[in-house]
Amino acid sequence: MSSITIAMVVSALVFTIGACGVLLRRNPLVQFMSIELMLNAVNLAFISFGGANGSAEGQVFVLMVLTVAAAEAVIGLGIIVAMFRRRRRMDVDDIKVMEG
Amino acid sequence: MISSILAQVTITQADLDKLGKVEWGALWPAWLAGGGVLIVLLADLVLPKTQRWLLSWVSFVLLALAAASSFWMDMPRTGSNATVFQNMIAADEMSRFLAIIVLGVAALIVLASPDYLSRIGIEATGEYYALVMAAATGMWLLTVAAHFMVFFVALELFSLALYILCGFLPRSIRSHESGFKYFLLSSFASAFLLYGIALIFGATGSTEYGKIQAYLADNNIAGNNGILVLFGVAMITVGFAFKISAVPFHMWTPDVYEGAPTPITALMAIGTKAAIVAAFLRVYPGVFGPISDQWKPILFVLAIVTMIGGNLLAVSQFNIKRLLSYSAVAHAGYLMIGLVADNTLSRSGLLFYLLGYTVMTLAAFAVVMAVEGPQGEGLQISDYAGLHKRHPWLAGIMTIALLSLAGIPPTVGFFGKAFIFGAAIQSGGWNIALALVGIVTSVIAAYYYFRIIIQMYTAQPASEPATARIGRPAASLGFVLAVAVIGTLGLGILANFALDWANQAAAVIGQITTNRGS
Repeated sequence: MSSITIAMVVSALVFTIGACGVLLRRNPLVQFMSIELMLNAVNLAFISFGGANGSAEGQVFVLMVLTVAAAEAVIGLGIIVAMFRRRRRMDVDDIKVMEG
Repeated sequence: MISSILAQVTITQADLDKLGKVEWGALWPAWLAGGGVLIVLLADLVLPKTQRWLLSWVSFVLLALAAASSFWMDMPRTGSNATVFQNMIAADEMSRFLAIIVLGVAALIVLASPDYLSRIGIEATGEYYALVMAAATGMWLLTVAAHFMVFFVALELFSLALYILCGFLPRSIRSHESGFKYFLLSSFASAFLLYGIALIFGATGSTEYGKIQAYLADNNIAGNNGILVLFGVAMITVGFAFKISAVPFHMWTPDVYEGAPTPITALMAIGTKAAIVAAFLRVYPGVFGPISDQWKPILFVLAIVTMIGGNLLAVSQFNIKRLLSYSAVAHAGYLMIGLVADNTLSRSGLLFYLLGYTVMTLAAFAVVMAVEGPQGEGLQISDYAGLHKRHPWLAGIMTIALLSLAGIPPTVGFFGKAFIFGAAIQSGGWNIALALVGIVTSVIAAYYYFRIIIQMYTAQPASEPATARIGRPAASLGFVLAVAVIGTLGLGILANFALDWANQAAAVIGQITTNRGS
C-alpha cells in the first residue's frame, strides 16, 4: 500500500471511531472528545492529501481547523459546565425537558 | 552582487496583476458588521449602566449600514472577474442580494430584542449584540465564499456565536438545553462537512470553487479520484442536510428553536437558513454542476421527505415556536426543490423565495416575541385564543404572515411557491413529482396555519390568559413588525421587480472562474 492509502485508511478509521463515539456514548464530555477525534481525522486527511497533491492548501486548512476547534472547545466546555453545574449525573439522556 | 540579481528581475505590471489586487472595497458589509462587534463591545465598556439601551441602536445602525453598504461596495460584475481576494470571495450581484437579506434581518432582530429581553428580565448587555453581529458577519461571509476555506471559517463563525446565544438565558433550563443540543449536533455535522471537503480536496487538488468546478468538468467522476469525489459529495450532503434541517436530519431543530430566546430563534430560522441555502446554491448547481447526475437524486429524495415530514409533524404541535420550527423544516424542503430543478427559473425562484421567507417568518416571530410572557408563557397555541380582542394589530399581522407561509395570494409566499413549483414543472421528468408533493403538502400546511388564525379570531380564552396584561409592543418592535408585514404584502404585489433582481443575482451561479491571481 502506498503511504497515502495507509494515511487515508487510518483517517477513515479515526473518523468512524469518533462518529460512533458521538452516537453511542452518553457522557457529553466523551461525546465532545469524539467530535475532536473526528476533526483530527479530517486534519490527517488534509495533511496527507496536501502532501500527495503537492499543495500547501491542505496544511493551511489544517491550521484553520485547529484554530476553530480550539474556539469550539472553549464554547462547548462553557456550555457543558453551565448546563451541569446543578446536576450530579452527566448523561445526555437526561437532557429532555423538550421533546416531541 | 545584489544589483546584478535585481537587474535580472524585471517586474512587469502583468506580474503585479497576477499577485492580485486586494479589493478591500468589496467587503464593506463585513467590515461594518465585523468591526461593529468591536465597537459594541467597547461601547458596552464605556457607557454607564443607564445608557445601555443605546447599544441596541448602535448595533442596529451598524448592521443597517452594513446591509446598505452593499450598494456602494466594489463589485467586479463580469463573470470572469467576479471574485476578489485571490478568488476567495465572490463579489457579485448575489452577494448584494444576500447582504440585504441576512444583514437586514440581523439589524431588525437587534432592534426587536430590547423589548423582549427586558420583558423576560434579562439585562441586554453588549455581548448579546456583539454576538448577533458576529453571527450576521459569518452568515454573510458564508454566502459570498468562493473557496471552501472561507466557507468553513464563516460557517463556524456564525455557528459559534449562535451556540452561545441559544444558551443565553441564564435561569432557563430550556435555553441551556437548546445551546447544548445545537452545539453537539452542529459540530457533529461540521465534522462531516469538513471530511467531505477533505475528500474533494484529495481528488481535485484544490479547495477553490472555480478549480474544483473546472476539474469536475474535465474529469467528471472518472477513476479512483471519482470515488473520492462521490464520497466527498455524500459527506457534504450529510452536513448540508443537518445544517438546513432536512428530514431525517431535522431532530435538533424543534428543540433548539424552542429553547432559544425568541429573537435568536428568528435569527436562526431566517438568517442561518438563508445563508446556508445561498451558500449551497453556489456549491451544488455551481461547483458540483458538472456531476449533477450524482447529487440530484439524493437531494430529490431529501426534498420530498422533508416536505412531507416537516408538514405532518407540524400538525400535532401545540407550542407556537415548535410549530414554526417544523414549518421552517418544511420550507427547507420547498427551498431544496429550487436546487434540484436546477434551471434559470428555479435559481432565481429560490432566491426570491428566500427573500419572501425572510419577511414572512420575521413577521410571525415578531408577533411571538410581542406576545410572549416573562416566564415563557403565551407560547401555546391556545394562548392565542381571542388575541384579536386584546391586540387587533398583532392578530392582523400574524394572520398575514401565516397566510403568506401557507401560500395564499396576494402575499409573497404564494409567488415564491408558484415560481419554485413552476420551475420544477418546467424542468420536467421526475421533477414534476416535486411540484405535486409540494402542492399537496401546502394543503396540509394550510390546516395548521389556519388553526392559529381560527384561534385568534373565533376561539374564546378558557380563562384569563397569563399574558393578557402584556401591553402594546415597544415602538422599536412595532417598527420591525411594520417592516416585515409591509415586506410580506409589498413583495407579493411587486413580485415582478423582486424576481427581476433575483434573476440578476442568480445569473452568477456557476460562473466563478479562475482567470485571476494564484
